[in-house]
Amino acid sequence: MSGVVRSVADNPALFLAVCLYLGLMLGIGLWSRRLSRGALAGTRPEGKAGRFMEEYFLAGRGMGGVTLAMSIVTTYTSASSFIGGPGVAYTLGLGWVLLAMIQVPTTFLTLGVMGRRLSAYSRRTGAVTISDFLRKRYASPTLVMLTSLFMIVFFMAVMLAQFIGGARLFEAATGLPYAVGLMLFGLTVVVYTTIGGFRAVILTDLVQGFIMLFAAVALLWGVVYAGGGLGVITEKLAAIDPGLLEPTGAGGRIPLPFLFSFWILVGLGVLGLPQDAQKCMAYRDDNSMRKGMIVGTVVIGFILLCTHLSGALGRAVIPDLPAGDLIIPTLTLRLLPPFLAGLFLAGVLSAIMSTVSSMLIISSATLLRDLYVEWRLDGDESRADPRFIRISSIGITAVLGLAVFGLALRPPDLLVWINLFAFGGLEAVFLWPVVLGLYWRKANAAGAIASVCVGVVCFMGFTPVPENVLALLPQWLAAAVAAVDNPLRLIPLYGTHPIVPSLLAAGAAFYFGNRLQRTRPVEPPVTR
Amino acid sequence: MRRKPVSSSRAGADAGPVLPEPATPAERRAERATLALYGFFFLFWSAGLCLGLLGAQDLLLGLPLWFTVGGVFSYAAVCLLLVRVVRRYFA
Repeated sequence: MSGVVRSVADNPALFLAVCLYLGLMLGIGLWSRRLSRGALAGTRPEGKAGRFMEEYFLAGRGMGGVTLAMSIVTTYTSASSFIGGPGVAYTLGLGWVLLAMIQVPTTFLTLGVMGRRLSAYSRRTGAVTISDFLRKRYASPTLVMLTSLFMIVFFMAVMLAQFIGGARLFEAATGLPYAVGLMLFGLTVVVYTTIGGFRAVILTDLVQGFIMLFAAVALLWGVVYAGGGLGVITEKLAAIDPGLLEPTGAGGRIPLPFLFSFWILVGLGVLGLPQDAQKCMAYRDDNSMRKGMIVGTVVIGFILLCTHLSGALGRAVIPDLPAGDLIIPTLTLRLLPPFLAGLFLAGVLSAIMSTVSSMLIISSATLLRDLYVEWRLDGDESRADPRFIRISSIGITAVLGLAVFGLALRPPDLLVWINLFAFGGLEAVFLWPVVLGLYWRKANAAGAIASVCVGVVCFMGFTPVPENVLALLPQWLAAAVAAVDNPLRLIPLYGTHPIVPSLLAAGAAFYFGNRLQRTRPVEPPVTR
Repeated sequence: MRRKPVSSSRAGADAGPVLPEPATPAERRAERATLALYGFFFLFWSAGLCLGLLGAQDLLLGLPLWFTVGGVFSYAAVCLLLVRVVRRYFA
């Protein structure tokens, strides 16, 4: 992506806008810390550790409607919504934009189907994380260990991909070295998440959501204006390649089975994403949920439509780019005034930073709650030293963030693969245990463990592993991957995405695994 | 030494899995309405796709008809219906 701008000196206004944005995010982090301290004031010593964790990891379950909506939207939209997706739309045309619109119902589906049940359950049992929910629902340490492990691994992979994508965009837009870009925005997100906790995450999400919305509209307006209107642009696209106006894409490269697979990958499958499920635990009341459903759906659809359409229509304005991923940075710098371009860049960085901050805080909560409180203190948080819990919460968040930051300093050239693999992997692990745990009273730990194992193995087996990934792995691990990969590769997928057969297999494993365990769940009178 | 009483959450885990409370009829209706709206969006989106496969390339709002139906109108329709669904079933 390098070479769009030569140096900061070419675009001081753009750099200034980005720096102002980063400063604002840090300011919100500090403000959140003050708000959290105020919320914790007056807590009795024996309840301080638990109260701190609820405040640091769930912002005291006080998320309002618009905040909830923006938080889900910004966590869900990432570098791929602003860079990767529009880049593919540039190459394949309107078919890819139609495919992207499958994500419109994400927010109302998550909140409408799981919101009330997950919120009520987590309040009743005191669950703070999705692993907490699984522990209380299934009472199985093995399941919690498995899901926590996979969640942290997949989250680290997603965060790594976001860090690298953001730093490369920064490099392309400002001309600053990759490491400087990574340092500026990577450290900003780690610092504000660490000091402000979940409250900083949702407040920055709120601001970032509005910046993203503004950026998406400004870009689409710029493209349509530069192209001479929608009708003219459509004619130009038809002249470049009529396939760009077909639903199956240029050269028929979006086959129908693949197109419909996305109704699972970015449709029903998102019910299993822990970063979205976590938001269901943190909203204030039913009114917040109602507002969140409407605002979230409107905003996410609007952002996706604007960004992807900009990518597809941008082909008529700049038809000769060597790679689709260049379209958004190039359009931004060519069509928007420098300060506005800087704000747009801030919008893209917002998408990246909000995804990273949410995952960072969930990973940190999982490590502290699942490894320390549950295993060392038998789950009794009142035995914890409040000072230790506070320092650990902040320390774990900082260490995890810095670990990903360190990995991103030497970026592997596997961005898209890492991102898609982690996204599908999270769905393969969490979809059935979370959804059936809420909806099927007979669901038990054996079924959930079988589902997690089968889901991950199938997803890894069905997903073709690139040669350069295998080359990075130790020999024994590469052999193990090949041992799973090769037999499963013989099963024909008929053009579907690997997530479809993986979720079907995981669902079947849940059912049959469930039949192996005969213990009767009980309903203790739990109040909090 | 006498151990402190465990927290309520731990008590639940010790006793076994804590089942979710059964949903009320109103909650079930709201969940079914959400899924029905999702189905409606799927059909609207698929109608756009089918139009595209049948070659409906006439321009509507400056974009091919199939895309305007499947990508733009479906989004607008689902947002409008969502407001009604939320007001009626999530009140």
